[in-house]
Amino acid sequence: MATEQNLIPVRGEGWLSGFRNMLRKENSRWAGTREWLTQSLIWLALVNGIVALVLYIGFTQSGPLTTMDALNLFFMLLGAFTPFGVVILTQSDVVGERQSGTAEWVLSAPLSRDAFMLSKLAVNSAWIMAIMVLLQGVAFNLILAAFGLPAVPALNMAAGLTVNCLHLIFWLALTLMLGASFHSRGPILGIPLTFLLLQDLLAGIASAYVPWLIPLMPKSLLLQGMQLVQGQGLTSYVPFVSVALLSVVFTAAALWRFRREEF
Amino acid sequence: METTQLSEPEAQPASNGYVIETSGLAKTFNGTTALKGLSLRVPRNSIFGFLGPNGAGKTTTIKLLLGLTRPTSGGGAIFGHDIASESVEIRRHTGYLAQVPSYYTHMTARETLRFKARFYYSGPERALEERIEESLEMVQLNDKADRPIKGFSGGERQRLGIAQAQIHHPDLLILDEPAANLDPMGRRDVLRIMEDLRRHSTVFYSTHILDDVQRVSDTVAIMNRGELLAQAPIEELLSGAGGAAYNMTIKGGYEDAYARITGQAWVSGVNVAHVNGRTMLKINVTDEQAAEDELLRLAVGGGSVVTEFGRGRHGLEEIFVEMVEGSNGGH
Repeated sequence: MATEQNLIPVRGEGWLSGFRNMLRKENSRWAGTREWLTQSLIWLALVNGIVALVLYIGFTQSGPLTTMDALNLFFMLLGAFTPFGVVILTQSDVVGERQSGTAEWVLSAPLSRDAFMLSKLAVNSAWIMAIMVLLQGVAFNLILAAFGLPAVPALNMAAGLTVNCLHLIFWLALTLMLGASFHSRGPILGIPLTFLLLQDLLAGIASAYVPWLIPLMPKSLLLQGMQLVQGQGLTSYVPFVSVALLSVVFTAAALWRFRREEF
Repeated sequence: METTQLSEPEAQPASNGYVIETSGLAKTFNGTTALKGLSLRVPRNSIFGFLGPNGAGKTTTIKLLLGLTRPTSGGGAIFGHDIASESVEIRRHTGYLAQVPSYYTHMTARETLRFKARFYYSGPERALEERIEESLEMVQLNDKADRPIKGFSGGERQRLGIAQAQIHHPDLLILDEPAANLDPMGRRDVLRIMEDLRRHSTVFYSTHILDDVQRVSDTVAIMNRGELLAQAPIEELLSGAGGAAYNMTIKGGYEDAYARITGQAWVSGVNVAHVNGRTMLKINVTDEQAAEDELLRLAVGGGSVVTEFGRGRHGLEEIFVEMVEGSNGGH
């Protein structure tokens, strides 16, 4: 063939063979469709829409709120809603590809299984952090300005947003691990959603019987995040270490399980 | 079950003569054996037909070869690379079309080929686009190249499947039922493409459409219930399986001739068909020499005139059915 001599073969990617191509493809699922726009609008409405509404009601009826009130509300909504979004958005990423046959198809190319999973983790992390956290942070500051409230110190805001990013990566890693482990959507959705819904109840039970478990739970990370945003400093590093470590463990388990998957 | 090895594999190193070699390859799913100790050799630059009824173990074998599933025991190599531990390297030189091809339906045909090509080539863009265009042309999808795949018919998906499987001009093409679910025109096109691809690839394809196999394959393997029943060049299989067959056309009364022929100990069976006032006999024999010496003499006389006589060929379908039914215990 005339073109054969000109084409440059892909070589030497080792255990991440095919990763770059999968990154491009996973990214096109967000950027090449209207997914990024839809998700941006949904999360702007769910987080900053509510913040703006509460600020508006405060201004017009119950008396104006402070920046700190708005900040507390913003991070409470962000921490409460976005993990559900992560689970719902990514629950079919692995199982859907397995069921539709596209996983088998791409894995018939020189794509390693680790690259398949890590590309999903990398691209979803980037878009989720950009849309569910960073965009919301920017919009929140614009809302504060619109209501004539003083801005939050940039470092405090950045620290709060970073903590939320870490929190969402935890839920993403957990969902991907479940996606690699189960062949139906039920447990992939059910396990994290049940935990999210019942975590306050579970925390109550844990505080009575296994109090050492409390700082290990992901919600403790959000509480530390709130302290950082309010400029109070950290009272414990344990939630950071726990969530980061668990995210790594979930990712490793997802890779381990997916390497053994049979198609 | 005894395996009928119709031809001895050539005594040369794997890397010289065979693209695929498996030895005792077996797979069990939840206690059910899907493949029982398959030992297969696929010669380089052949079109290798992998035949068997549904559930014979064809797709399982293909998935094992591609590293999509792991063997329970045994093993194999493609281009000398181990199928279990060097799968990525094997897939770099192999193209695959699944039985039911699946793609990302939000992509167009062109985007699908571009995505697939980038697993093998990093560029340059122009050469990549030329290769994609060439592939689209080969499967006659140029006019639909920029439409989303979700609107494609089964035949178009199959053609796209062939295009994506050969986008990197692989040394080995593995096609799982490439002509299944296609109309006769689609089947003809797929077979033509397979013959074209043979110029630079070995084609290993599974099927249960025997006409197609007889048309394009040069080597076949017959599977049933996870076992290899036969593996041989198709000519050898057609001419040599279980004795010989002779065709005879008789004008006039055939009953006396029929009685004399069926009375011979070396005649294992006679099929009779009547066409345009003539009688056609297909005579299966166990002793070729006796048949050639005696058959004509036995047929003539009593008003019968033999208008045609010659060595017949076993049809692949006949061989296939005999082998599969034989391995099923005659059922």
